[in-house]
Amino acid sequence: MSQFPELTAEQLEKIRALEKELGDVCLLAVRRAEAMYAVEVKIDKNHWKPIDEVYSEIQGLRSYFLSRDDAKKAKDSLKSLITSKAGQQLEKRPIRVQKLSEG
Amino acid sequence: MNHEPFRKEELETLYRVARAINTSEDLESCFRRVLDLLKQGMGLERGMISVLRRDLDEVHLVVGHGLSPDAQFRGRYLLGEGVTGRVAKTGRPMAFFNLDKQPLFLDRTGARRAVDRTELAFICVPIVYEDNVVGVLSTDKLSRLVADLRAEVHFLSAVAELIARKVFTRSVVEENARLKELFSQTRPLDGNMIGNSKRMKEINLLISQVADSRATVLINGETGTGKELIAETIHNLSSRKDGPFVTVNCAALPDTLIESELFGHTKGAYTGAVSSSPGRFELAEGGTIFLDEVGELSLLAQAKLLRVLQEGEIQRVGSSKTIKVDVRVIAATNQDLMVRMEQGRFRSDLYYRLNVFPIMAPPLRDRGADILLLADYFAGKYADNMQKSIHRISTSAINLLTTYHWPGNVRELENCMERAVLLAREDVIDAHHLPPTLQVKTGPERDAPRGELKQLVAAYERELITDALKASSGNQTKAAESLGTTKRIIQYKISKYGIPYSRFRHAEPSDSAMA
Repeated sequence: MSQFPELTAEQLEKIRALEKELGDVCLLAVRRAEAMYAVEVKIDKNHWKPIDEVYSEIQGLRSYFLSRDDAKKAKDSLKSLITSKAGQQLEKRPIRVQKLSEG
Repeated sequence: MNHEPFRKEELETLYRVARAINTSEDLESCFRRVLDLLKQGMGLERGMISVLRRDLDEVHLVVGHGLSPDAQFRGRYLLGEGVTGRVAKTGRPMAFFNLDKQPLFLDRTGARRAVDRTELAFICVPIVYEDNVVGVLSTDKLSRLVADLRAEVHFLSAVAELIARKVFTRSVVEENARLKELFSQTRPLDGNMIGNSKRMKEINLLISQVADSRATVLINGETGTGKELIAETIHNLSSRKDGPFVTVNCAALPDTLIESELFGHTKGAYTGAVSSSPGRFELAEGGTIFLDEVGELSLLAQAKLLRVLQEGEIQRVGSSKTIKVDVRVIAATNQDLMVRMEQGRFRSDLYYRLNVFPIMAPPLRDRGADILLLADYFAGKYADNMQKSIHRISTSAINLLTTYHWPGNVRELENCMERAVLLAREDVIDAHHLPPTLQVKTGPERDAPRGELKQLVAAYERELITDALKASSGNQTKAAESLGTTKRIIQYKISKYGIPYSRFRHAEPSDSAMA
């Protein structure tokens, strides 16, 4: 499962130092955003997973978005695909947009 | 028919198509994007999306991949004509491995003139929305890339299903534009005659027939049916339109004054006649005089009027000099002149002089189809006057307006809408904004059994939910919020009352009742 670690300033500094040591390598991309949104599928009671993991048969499916609108569009598009005849081979499950973090 | 599950790249393309149609782009750009995706993802070239025009029984190309506007315009097929027309007519897909061997294929757009058609497979599927064919989706693919034609049809049908709602929206948008045009054509005479009912079409025809003649017109109709408007329209359409249009309400003038009023008087003709004054007939020289409530004229005045009609000349009161006048006479009455004639209260010779071209102004209750048009018109007119923003007339108000028997006809409706606009606090005219006369039992249709409380409450609840759904363009969450309840309850009620909420999705909130 994809996770977004919360790093302390010291941990960040250590990673940056390692990057310098290794040369032209980027180990960590940091982007400050007000919030991030995940599109998730309900697997079980209180158990949600990102859509790209559940519907892995759809290539190019993204689970994380920087704006709620984009996440909502992804959710709506997936729902319209799943509810169409074309989506009969995909299991129908509840989908939600979840706000992940605040910067 | 069982099909193989879609492959990963097919599912990816389908998901991308679903994303493309979920954008807020305009419909053409959205369709173009879908065709681009079909080409990039599946090698489906020269895609075309056409919309069925049911009013013409034709299929019109809306977007063609890589087509010029001219070529696109040529992409029109009668139902049953060519492959596209046949697919639209039958609602069944068609596909060929070798396009060159297909006599049905017309290539009207000329998109495949420069390519070797023997190497092309062609797939054409209907776009179906709510069990009705609304359009056609077609594409080419190099035959050598087609392993299974049925699988290609299956895939393209899935795309067609995804875009069906948008294509339906496109056809609704077109239909809306056509209806607006039609609506504008229903008031071609001078912009004031509103109505699309059969009775009004007959009136419009009569007006256009008589307008350019010199014939005297007698308009008969109940009070408030728009007799003066008809007279004004006749005048405005005639060659006298640049001349004056003079109105005389014969019922408002006392017997002693009517002669002087119509024909004028000379100085000293009677006590108080301190100067000479022209009458209405002289003022209407070169134009039209409209004699309203002509049945109220005294027998003496009727005799004088008859002379004007016969000789085309008048005499001012107190003068022996005759004055030639060139005036067209249009008269109106809400009385049965035949009965008054039999009673000896109306001169028969004048009646036959006036009744050269009779027009019967229909009462509003016989113009059911026009009530909403007129209500919309007056709502818009008074909203402008009062600088209010009225966007909609609620279903409950529409029900009241259409079931009322309108004894005061259009005038009553106008007053009623003026009051409603004045009282409306938001942008909707609701039933409680209409006058109490409409809310009580008046017409015979309201004598029907009213049912039990449970049924009445259910009917009211259905109306409220329908209104809320209309206002929210079919969005159940917003409708629930506006009614202060939960989405779950709204969904339950929608299903219980069978409310077709999806119909409201395509209309803007303001479209539900306003023209």
